[in-house]
Amino acid sequence: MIVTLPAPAPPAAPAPALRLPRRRRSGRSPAGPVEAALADLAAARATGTLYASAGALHLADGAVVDADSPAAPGVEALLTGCGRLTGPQWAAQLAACAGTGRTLAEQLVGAGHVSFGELQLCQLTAVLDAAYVVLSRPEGDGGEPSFVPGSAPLLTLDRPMSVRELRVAVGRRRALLDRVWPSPQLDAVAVRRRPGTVPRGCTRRRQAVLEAADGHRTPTEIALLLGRSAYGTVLDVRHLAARGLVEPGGLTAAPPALPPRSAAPPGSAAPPAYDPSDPHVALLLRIRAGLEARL
Amino acid sequence: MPGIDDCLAEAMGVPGALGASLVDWTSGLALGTAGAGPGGDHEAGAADATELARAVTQSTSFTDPAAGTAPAEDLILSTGAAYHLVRFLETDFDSSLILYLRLDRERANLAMARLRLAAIAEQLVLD
Repeated sequence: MIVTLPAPAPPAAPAPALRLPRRRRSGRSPAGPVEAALADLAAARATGTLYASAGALHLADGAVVDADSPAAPGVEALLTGCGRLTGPQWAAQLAACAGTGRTLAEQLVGAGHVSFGELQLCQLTAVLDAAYVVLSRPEGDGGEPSFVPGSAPLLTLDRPMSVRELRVAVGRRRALLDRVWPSPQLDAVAVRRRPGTVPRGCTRRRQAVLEAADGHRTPTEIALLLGRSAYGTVLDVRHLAARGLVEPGGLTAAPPALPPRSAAPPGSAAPPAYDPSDPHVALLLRIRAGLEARL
Repeated sequence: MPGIDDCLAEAMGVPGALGASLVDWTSGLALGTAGAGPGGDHEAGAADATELARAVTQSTSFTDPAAGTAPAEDLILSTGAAYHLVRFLETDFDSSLILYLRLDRERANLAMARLRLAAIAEQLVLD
C-alpha cells in the first residue's frame, strides 16, 4: 500500500497584500495562568489538584494523573455513553468501593463492566480530552487558578503524563484543528447544518454530529449529547466546516470570520483585517497551520 | 487480564519486531512504548506515525462512510529495511488511538505480523 503524506507547502504561493495575524505556536505559546501554574507545580513535584475556570488537573509528584472538566465527558460519561454500564450501575460501583476498600478501577474491572485494557484506554482518552479543554480555554472572569495540595482523584492513570508532554500534545491538537479548518470561532458557538447542503461521503460519525447541529448546540453540547470526546467533536465540526456543511448557528452569511486566536483577551476580539473567503488567504492560513505543526 | 503494557510486550513478540507504541493520533502522544523507537526516539516515531494516520482521517478519498470509531483498519508502509504497521483501535467509546509496530523487514512476515497486530488490538479492548 502506498501512503501519501500531506503535500508540503507549495514553493511559491502568490502573496496577496494582506497581513495575517501573528500567532505564536500553540505548543509553546506564552504560558497562560494555568500553564504557568502547571509548570511551577511540575518543577516542585507537587501532589494535589489545580483548579482552573474550565476544569481541574490532578497531579502526583509533579505529573498529571487525572483531569476533568464539565465541558469534556469523563470516564463515566464515555462508558455510560457507549452503553457499557448505566448511571445507576456506576453509582453502585462507586458505593461498593467504600465498602470493600478497593479502588474504583479494581471495582469496575472486577464487576466485569469493562476490561483492564479498555479502562486504561478510556482513562487516557478522558484525561487528554479534559486537559485539552482546561489548557485551551482562556481564563475568563474565574480569576487565577488555585491549587489544593494533597487531594487524590478516584481514578488515576497507571502511567502519569508529564506536564511537558501534555503541553506538547495539546499544542499538536490545536495545530491539527487549524490544519483542517483554521476557524476557532466555530469551537465555542452554536452550530447548525448549512441550509441546502447535501452531505455526501460523510462517515456515520460526522453524520451524527451534523444531525445534532441544530443551531442551538455548541460543539461541547454535541459532544456531551453523543457521549463523545470534546476534542473529537470539535475536530468533526471543523471537518464539516471545511466542506461547507456547517456554519455558526446565528449567522446566515457564508464563510465564518476568523478572529485572531489568543492574540487579544476574550471579549475584545478585533475584527479580522483580511477576508477569509479569499482563496489566497485560506491557502496561507493552511500553510501557516502546517508549518506550526512541524516546527 | 491484559493491559496496555502487556499488549505492547506481546507486539514485541511478533517475529522481527523492533518497537511498538500506543499513540493518540490527534496529539501524537505516545501513551505506552516497548522496544526501540525509530532512531531510538519513540516520541518522534509516535508523531510521525500520527502523520500517517492523519493522511487517512483527513482525506475524503479514504473515508469509509460505514466506519465506526476507527476511521480505517490499518496502514502498511514498507521501506527497504522495515515495515511500519499502524493499526487503528476500535473501541466502544469515542477514542483516537493507534498501535504502531515497526518491524525488521529481513526477519518479519508481513501477513502474519498484520494478523497478530489485529489480534493484539482486539485483545486490548475486549475481555
